[in-house]
Amino acid sequence: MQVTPPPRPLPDLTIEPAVEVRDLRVRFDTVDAVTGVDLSVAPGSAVALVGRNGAGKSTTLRVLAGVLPPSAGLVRVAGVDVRHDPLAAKRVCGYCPDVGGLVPRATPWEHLQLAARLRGMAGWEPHARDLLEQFDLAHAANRVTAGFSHGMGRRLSVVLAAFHAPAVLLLDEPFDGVDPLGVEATFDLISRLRDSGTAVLVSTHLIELATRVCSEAVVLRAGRVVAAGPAAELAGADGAGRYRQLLA
Amino acid sequence: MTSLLAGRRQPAISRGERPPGAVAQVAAVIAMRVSTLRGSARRRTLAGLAAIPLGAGGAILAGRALPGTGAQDALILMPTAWLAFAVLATVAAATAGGRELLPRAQAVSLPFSPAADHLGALLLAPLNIAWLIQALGLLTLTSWGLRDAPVPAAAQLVTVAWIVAVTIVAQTLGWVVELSRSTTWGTWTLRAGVLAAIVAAGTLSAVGRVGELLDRSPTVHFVTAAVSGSQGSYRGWGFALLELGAAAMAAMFCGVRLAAVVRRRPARSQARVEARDYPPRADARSDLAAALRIDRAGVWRSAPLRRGLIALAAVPVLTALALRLDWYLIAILPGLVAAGAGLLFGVNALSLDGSGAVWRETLPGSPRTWLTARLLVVAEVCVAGAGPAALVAGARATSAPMTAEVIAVLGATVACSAQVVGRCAVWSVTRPYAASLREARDQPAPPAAMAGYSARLAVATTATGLVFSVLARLQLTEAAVAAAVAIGIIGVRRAVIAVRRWEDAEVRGHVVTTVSGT
Repeated sequence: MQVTPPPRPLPDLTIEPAVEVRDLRVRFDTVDAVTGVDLSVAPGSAVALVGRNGAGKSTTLRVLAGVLPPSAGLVRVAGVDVRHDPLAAKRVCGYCPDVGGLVPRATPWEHLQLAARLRGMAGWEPHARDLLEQFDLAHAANRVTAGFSHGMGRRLSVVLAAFHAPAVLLLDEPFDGVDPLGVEATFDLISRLRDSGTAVLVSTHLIELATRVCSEAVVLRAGRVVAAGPAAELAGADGAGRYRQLLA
Repeated sequence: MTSLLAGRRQPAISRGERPPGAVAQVAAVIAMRVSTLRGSARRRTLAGLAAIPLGAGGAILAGRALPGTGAQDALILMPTAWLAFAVLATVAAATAGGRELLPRAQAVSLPFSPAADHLGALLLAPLNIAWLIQALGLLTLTSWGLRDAPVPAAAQLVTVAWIVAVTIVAQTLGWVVELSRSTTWGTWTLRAGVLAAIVAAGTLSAVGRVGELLDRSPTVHFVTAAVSGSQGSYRGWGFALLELGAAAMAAMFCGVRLAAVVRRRPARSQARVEARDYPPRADARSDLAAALRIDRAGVWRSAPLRRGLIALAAVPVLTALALRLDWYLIAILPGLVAAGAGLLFGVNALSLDGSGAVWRETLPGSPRTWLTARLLVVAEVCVAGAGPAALVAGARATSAPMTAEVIAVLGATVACSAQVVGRCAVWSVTRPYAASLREARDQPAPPAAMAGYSARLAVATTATGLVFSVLARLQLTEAAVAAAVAIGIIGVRRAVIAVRRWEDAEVRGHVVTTVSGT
């Protein structure tokens, strides 16, 4: 894995990337959260976004999801410019935020109902039931999420992000506090969506899980990309050592 | 193994010293809260705190400046006013939030003692605008009623002792109510108590014995003591001060103990809401209907909001049942209720989504619909609180209404609701806070901010109520309609400006990340 300058991961230049980020900058008052990120994810591929706390991973995903507007740079998802057409970008993206992300006094079914309504989905109920079953949430489908454990909340956030089979799936810490069965369900879901052409971007601190589910990895440090390459290079003891070097 | 800290100088941490007491803990939390305030917010807060003693001085001077012809009436009113203060202080402590200096979720990781919790609740009581206005009113009334007495300061001392003792007792009763809610038996006892109070108020009012009951109020004893003190007779006066001091100390002691017990109890009412199943409903017919449905659920499934809403409707209804008001006075009621409705959650309406605000922002829905639905729910809460109060007060009014009086009451309801919604819309978009609104004492914004909001809403809606009251008295129907339309338009205009701001992605990003606490 190269350290600097960061290469732009473009696996196949003949395919238009599902996620295209060029020189992304995000500034909060006096703080530069992202200082020039370049990123590209092809349809059907999965890229891990890794780095230390405060490296800019979550902020980058929030910009892609349309939650935060970029201060500068180009951000496209499925060919849609997030800055110029945020509503269209939200239609093609599915986003699981890093923390919470659930309306506390609404049930999972009510979350899905609202999402289906705003995404114009018809006949969504059987699909929703299947997803809740896969993530072991069917028994809690009609309970308010305020009473959920952290892991249940994470699993529901993944379900909500993937519910409409988006062209771009953005998962921020989807494995955090999730039990092994939940992790397997997330793996299966990512695999199925990739097969159908969804581009997946996963931000996580759990490198071993990231290397299992993603083909490529991008390392962020202090708001910029410091390395990019095959995720397998970060696997195992050697990979962990390499990763620590990149973070230092 | 070599320590990673080997060779480094160890920080001086003393663990063996006696931990800080309740006063030091409260001081530390207040210092931390003040240090988080910046710029105008800091100036506003400090000015607001300084205004409390200045207001007390002003209230006493105002009483002395009032015409002596009304002094006798003021004196007669004093026992009832003192009783009303006690009732409202207790209701506020038992039903509303704002008693929490350090939210329970934050306190779990800090050695914040129950005594500090109770002390914090006492310190926050004056930040409640209803408490403050009533307390200042008592000082004014005493000053006015005894303006010609040789030693008016002696009477004011009893008034202040009454305010302090009642506040401490009310906060302790607040803990009793909170503790009762943690058991099924206690919850049903509370409900039975509230029902009994409503029936008693209705019955006493129906048989016309409210006045007789007020004449036998225990407050007569303390007012008599205050009067005798002001005349230079100190025996009864001193005894009353001792009684109030003893009551305050006993309540303080019990309050600390109760706070400790409450802390150990699970939040039963919230657990019940979170454990039950809510059967799915048919799909909503429009985006707005879908948003309204989820927003209404956010209010009714929150224990503090549901409780606040019920209290907001019940207290004015009880008051209206107990007192037969003239129609022109009924026009003031909707404003008071609407201001309370805004304080339930409207001042930070977007916090209703909690961390789900980020998820909602990723949905391809119109931001305008999202905020419009939220403001409609705030408006519903205003009208749902003010409507029953006005209806009951109207039914119990001293006479049949004239057209102008009915129009004035309706106009006051519409205008005050629009005023509250407009202001809440602006505050929600420009000054968001993270608030869980989950536990009994949760409130939508920090205590100092809530004090500012309550003062501004109370002043605005009371002024509006007074305008409609005057118009009702003068029988000016057309003017009442015009005032309702004009004030309504101003409120709606504020809301529209807030919605436009909300449509800015940058503003929305700031709000959703703030209210979601991420």
